[in-house]
Amino acid sequence: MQIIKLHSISKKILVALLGMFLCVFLLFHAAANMCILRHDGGAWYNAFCDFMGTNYLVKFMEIILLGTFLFHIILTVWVTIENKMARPQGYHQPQRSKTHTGSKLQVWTGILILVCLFCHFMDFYFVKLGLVDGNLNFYEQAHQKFQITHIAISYLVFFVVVWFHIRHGFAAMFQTLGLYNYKYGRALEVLGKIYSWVVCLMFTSVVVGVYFGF
Amino acid sequence: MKLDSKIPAGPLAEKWTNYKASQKLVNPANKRKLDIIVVGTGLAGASAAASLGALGFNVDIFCIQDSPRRAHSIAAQGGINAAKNYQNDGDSVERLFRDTIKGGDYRAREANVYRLAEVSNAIIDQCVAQGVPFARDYGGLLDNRSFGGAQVSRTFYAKGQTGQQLLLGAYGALSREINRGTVKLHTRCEMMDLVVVDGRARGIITRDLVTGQLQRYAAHAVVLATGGYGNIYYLSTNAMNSNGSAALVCHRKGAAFANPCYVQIHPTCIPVHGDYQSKLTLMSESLRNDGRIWVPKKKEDAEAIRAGKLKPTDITEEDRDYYLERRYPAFGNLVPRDVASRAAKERCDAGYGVGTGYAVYLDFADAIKRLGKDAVEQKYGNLFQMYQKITDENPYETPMMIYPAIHYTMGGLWVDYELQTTIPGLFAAGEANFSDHGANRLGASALMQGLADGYFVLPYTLQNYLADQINVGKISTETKEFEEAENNVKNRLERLMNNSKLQTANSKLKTVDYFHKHLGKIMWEYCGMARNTESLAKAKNLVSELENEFWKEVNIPGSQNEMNPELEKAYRLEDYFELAQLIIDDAMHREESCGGHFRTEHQTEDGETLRDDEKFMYVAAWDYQGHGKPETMEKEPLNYEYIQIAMRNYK
Amino acid sequence: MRFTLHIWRQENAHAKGQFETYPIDNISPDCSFLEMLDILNESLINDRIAHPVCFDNDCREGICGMCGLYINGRPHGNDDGITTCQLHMRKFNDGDEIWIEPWRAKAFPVIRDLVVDRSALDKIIQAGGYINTTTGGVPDANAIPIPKHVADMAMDAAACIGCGACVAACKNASAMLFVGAKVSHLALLPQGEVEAMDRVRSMVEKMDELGFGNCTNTYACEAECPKLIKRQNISRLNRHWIGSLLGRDKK
Repeated sequence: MQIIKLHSISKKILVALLGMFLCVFLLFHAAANMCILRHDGGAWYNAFCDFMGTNYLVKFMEIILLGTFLFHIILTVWVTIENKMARPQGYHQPQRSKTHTGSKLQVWTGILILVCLFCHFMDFYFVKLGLVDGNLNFYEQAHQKFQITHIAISYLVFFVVVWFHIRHGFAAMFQTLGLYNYKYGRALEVLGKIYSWVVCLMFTSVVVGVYFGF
Repeated sequence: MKLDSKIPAGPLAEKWTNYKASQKLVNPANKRKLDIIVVGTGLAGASAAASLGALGFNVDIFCIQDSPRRAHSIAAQGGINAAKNYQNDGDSVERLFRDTIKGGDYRAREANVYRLAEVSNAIIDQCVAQGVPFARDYGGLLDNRSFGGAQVSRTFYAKGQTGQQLLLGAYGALSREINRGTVKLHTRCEMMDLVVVDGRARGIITRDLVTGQLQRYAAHAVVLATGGYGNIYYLSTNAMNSNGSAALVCHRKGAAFANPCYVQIHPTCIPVHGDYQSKLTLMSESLRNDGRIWVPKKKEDAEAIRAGKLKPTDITEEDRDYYLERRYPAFGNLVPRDVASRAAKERCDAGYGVGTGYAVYLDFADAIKRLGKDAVEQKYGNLFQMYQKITDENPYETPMMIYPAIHYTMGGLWVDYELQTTIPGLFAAGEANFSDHGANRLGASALMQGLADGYFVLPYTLQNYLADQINVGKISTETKEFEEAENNVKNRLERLMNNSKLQTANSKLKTVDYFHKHLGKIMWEYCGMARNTESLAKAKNLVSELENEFWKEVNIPGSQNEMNPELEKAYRLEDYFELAQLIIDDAMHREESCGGHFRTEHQTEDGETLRDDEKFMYVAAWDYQGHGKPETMEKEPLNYEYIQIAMRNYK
Repeated sequence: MRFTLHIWRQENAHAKGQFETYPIDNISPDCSFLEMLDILNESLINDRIAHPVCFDNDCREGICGMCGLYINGRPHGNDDGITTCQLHMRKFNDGDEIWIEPWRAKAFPVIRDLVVDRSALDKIIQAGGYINTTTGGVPDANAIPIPKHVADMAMDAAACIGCGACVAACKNASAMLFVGAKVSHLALLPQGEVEAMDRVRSMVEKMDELGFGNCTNTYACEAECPKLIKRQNISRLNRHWIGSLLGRDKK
């Protein structure tokens, strides 16, 4: 496994930094989505999409973002394999320690996110790239998709999974970066909670809003 | 056997300086050629190995546990003494020296104790440099507290885990040397015999506790730091694996054993509650600062409590007997350990005991009323919690129950001023030797002695011995002495195992623990807190009978070539049988009461110890004569040149 | 009280192990867990049922760190802030089934039954978990004042007994709490701060080399630590690691 020499903590720090970048992106994405809820026929939202589709800096950032996703995934899978190897023989009894469930689910929520993300890309991102057919007007595309009940529900499930992933990931990020201490450790935890709720509620509000036609 | 304590000439305060100035040294190039074996990784062993390794010697260190950090020094709670006088309360090397001699009931060697007091300050400096997180006050300087037997605050502490922190400091220093390659660590490895070549200690035979394999290790000198033999009483505050075997095998090879009858009984332990019990837990001496010790004044109340009909809180103030405050108004609940222990036993024997009948109350109700529950929790919270975990009783609401228990052994291998035993090249440090505490050890002095021996005494005195060994060359393990020693160990183990196999038809077989428990009971009953001629004679017979029974009915499963804790217990117990006889003989011969040794025939009218300085002002060093034969005793007279001998009085 | 014990039996490091079931009766609720095992062993020996169960133990007062059993899914059993030797049978219900397993980790191979080899923890300390001093030649103990709260924090981190429960509890068998506690203890004190960056590097490198897992911030270690050592120490370890990557002004 040691093709590239990376110490355990270094791997974690990279995962955290990449995660932090993704968190920033997510906030950005959520804010943009809120435009859908404007009753302007998609003027703002489409303008935004247009900007995202044509600006070269954005295109560059897109590659960085994809790389971040990929690297985040590779590292966590690497860490997970190593962690499994650290205990070749497991316990007979299930663990009953009082711990945060978030981290135990983290890999699984991560994989779920990956699957959901693929579906999400089928609806939007791949359309933009021309890989699949679809409405290039994302405002209309969103309205079409989110009014279909099972798709709307799938998206809501997706957001719950994301919420789980962030809830643990955000606090863990600060722990890994060495910022969790006696003084403002609690504050960071609260910040993590606020962040995960705000981002997920923003996403949810768009889907719910469109579904009920607000 | 000739005892030569090798005390340097000159005034007391200059002896150690003079010794160091005139001793022989080994130059750095030659140190690399010399091998030293250290047995035990407690405070004395770890600190000695680390210091000797840092000097450049090749050191092999052995412990029976899986890591050097498990040694029982780790369990010391209270603190470590030093004459720093940081509190400006009149402390000095001189005073620490005098307190220790007096605390030891005038049965310790002056020169050794003075040296101990002299190096005590350097120990604190050393530990702080190693990162021992001693308690500090708000100004950032070191804090002190007071302990029994002293009128000054000279005890340094790290919460209730001072021993742990000091040991981890020494363990760190040891780890550093292991990393540098000067010290080789052997864990789960038990010393089984000492190898003596041409009258000098030249190596040891060990048993690998995982595979059962016997191994030979050779060296130019051997340091024994294997602790005390308190576990001979089975129930003690010692760890389960603490044992006296290494010291005893050296004794069999010719090292004199000094003052074996001096054992310390700690007054505040959680009482025995059942036959299955394996261990007694100590509650720190500091509890006696605020807790008041009492038993019911009326026998019928005590009986009712024992029967569960009355609760301690039902007994009114005037029906309580605060016996320590009654008998020792000046010191009250803070009398020295031996005094407090005997007083508790006296009350329980008279029928006033509570619990199982062998317990007294340590009551914090007054302290809680006076200081508030929070203040008491601040001070003793972790101890109260520990008590509650064990007993399931809340000490904030109902008084604690305590009873004395075996804690420390002042006796041990006889050593001279250089800590060398009567076998040249064999040194003993820490609790394994006898030197500094006389007949009773003061609180917080054991840690001081262990580290003094390891950090600041052995690195000097060993060099003095090794200086003429530089031309000896590597010691070979392929000699007849090693062969013989290894065979002896092999035979001994086989004898135990075969004996057990021969008994397979016997249906009355018992485990090693069964015999150990019985030995413990005999020793506690007849050679414990109070002894007399009849009880000791009885103990002697009972021990012999038990030993015979042991050989007839002990059942040791498995084989010697595997991990076999039962076999370990068995050979340690076999040694205890021999040691028990020695303790009894020593107690029998010492027709006086002093410190931890209380002969009921020799007491004052109000039940205090009565020394006989005329006849017994000496160290009794016993010389082994073969199994089952009475040992001969050599006296090392104690000449007090600087100390005014007085009666210990705590009234 | 009556219990059914399921105990991991394994003759030696190379043998294949399995669970064996032993019923046990007449246990006092005041009996400690290890004393209960003593009683079991006594009956195994007396009735010649099997070789007695091997388990590590020494001080039996919660400070030596020798004992460590994985009991019904929790290292040191179902109570907080205790070692196995401080667990009492009154914490169980009459008739309980009790599963007793050894610590499981690649770095802690089983030696026999419930005894594991924890020398990996010693090796981490040997890699640098100390302050480089030799005996003598040190300044006076009061030469460097240390703020009380710093000394107290160092003490809390130094309380680690090296039992390995953190590794046993961690789903990744990570030793981060153990390493974090030692790094914190020494780095907090001015005496240890001098080598803090080198220390964190050598200790973490050794930890990785020995096959411990990576920390994934589950904090089972914190929940099971018998000395209640906090996860803040892991965070401090991470911080110092970053410091050593970025701030070490050395080759």
